[in-house]
Amino acid sequence: MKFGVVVFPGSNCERDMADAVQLYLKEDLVFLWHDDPDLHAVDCILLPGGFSYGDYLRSGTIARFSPIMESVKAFAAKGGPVLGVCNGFQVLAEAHMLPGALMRNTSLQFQCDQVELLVEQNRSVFSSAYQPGQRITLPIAHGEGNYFAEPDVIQRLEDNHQVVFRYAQDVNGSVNRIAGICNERGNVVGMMPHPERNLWESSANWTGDGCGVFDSVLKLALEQVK
Amino acid sequence: MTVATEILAEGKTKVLRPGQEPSEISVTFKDAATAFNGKKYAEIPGKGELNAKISTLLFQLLTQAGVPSCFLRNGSQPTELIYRRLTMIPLEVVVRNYAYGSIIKRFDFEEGLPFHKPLVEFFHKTDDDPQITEDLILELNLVPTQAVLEHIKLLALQINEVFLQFFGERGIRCADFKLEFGFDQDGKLLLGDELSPDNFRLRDVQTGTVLDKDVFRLDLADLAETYRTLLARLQAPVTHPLEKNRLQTYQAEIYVHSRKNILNPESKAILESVHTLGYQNIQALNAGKRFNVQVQAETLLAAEKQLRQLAETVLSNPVIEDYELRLKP
Repeated sequence: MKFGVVVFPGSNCERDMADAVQLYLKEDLVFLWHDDPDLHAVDCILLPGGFSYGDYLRSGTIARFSPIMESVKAFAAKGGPVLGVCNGFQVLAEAHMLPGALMRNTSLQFQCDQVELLVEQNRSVFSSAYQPGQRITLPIAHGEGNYFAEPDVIQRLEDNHQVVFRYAQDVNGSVNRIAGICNERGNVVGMMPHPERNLWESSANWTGDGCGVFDSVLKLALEQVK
Repeated sequence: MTVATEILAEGKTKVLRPGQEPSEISVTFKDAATAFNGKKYAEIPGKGELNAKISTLLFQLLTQAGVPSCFLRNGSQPTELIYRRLTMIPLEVVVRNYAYGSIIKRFDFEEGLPFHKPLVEFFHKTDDDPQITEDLILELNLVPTQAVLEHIKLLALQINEVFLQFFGERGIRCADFKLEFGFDQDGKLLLGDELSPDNFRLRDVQTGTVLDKDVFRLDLADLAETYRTLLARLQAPVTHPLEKNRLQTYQAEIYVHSRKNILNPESKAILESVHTLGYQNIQALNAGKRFNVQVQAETLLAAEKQLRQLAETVLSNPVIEDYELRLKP
């Protein structure tokens, strides 16, 4: 399987994403430069964390207009798996590939922490390796992770089981403690916590709980081969 | 089809009747010509039909240009137009490009002098239609907010640009004209009233020949004949093509702020510290972003369209933010 990690000016988690693909999954990887619409025939696209374009205007806004994003949209429309983590989630929301918006944390602080999450469903491409209701711990590192959408949108997300991860306790003011969501089809997932930072035993506070996100993609690929 | 007999209102030159739908109104143009606030009066056969035709032509021109108006379609009679029913604002909005008429009595302008920039004047629709200031318009509650007044002014200037080009291309100087505005059932601001030469000052660019109601006011020529000539010139192809693609630079401010019902954590924190500092009387505070934008466009209408697109797709996130646009003509 071939993974593409999109690199915007200001991305800073693309190496961690690459390690998750190459060292953890032991799969092929190509970095996709934001300025080039060519997806190099990848099977899965990862949008990493960071501060694309310095978070100017709003987090993720300017990245959304990069040439590659049209290709990413078309790839997702055909059912291709797309994961956005942290700034990647902000880009997906700004690009309207996922509903809602990410506002300033209610604490007004950049929050770096380990947080407990509830896995709400395992039907998305990036949560199939978990059990629904499973409690996992992942690191967060963001200033704008306060998820907001209109009440009718939230209702639809909940009714369709599109909330993938939920904070066990309020972290940043997100409506319904939403930490990660997917589109209706389940192939596009955005999440504020960083699964790629909880894979290695050598990492601080390691539990291995991030593995499930990456295992899920392979699990799905294997099922398709069968 | 017959014209409904019930009359909703009758003015000097028009009769209003209920339309087929509750949201519509039938407008019949009369043959009457009046001037000097009704002191001069005449019946001019054919005038009603000519005014209906010229109004139709100009409303359609504005619709094509993207100006929202009351005009829906022609009625069953040649003197009848069908409008969207509006709640009218009791203001006459006059746009002047050249000095004619009342302004040269009020101020010492030489007749026919071109103004540096188009002027917008407001008159209150009462017995003798006095000129009225913007402060007084708000004081008398003739429009709900300052923003609506600014919108009216912008629309008037946008319409002026469309007219300057259209008449200019037909060798006609559009010296001044009067507009009226109203709100439809959804509260949207639309152009109302009529667009007939009764409300314009139009002059042939080369000869200075009068092509509007001044021929009646000043007994210069036969009114019906003049209106007929004007209609023919407006229907004819362009005779005086203007230079194309004349881009102008417009200045605008776009103010982006969080939507009313959405708590902005930053604003809340600022307000709390403001209270801690002792400014207890500060009741509300909403932090936003202001963008000063320079845009090139052929017309004000085109500039506004580009700016709204920019504001809605890039500068603001409609999920959490609203924006206000101030386009400086």
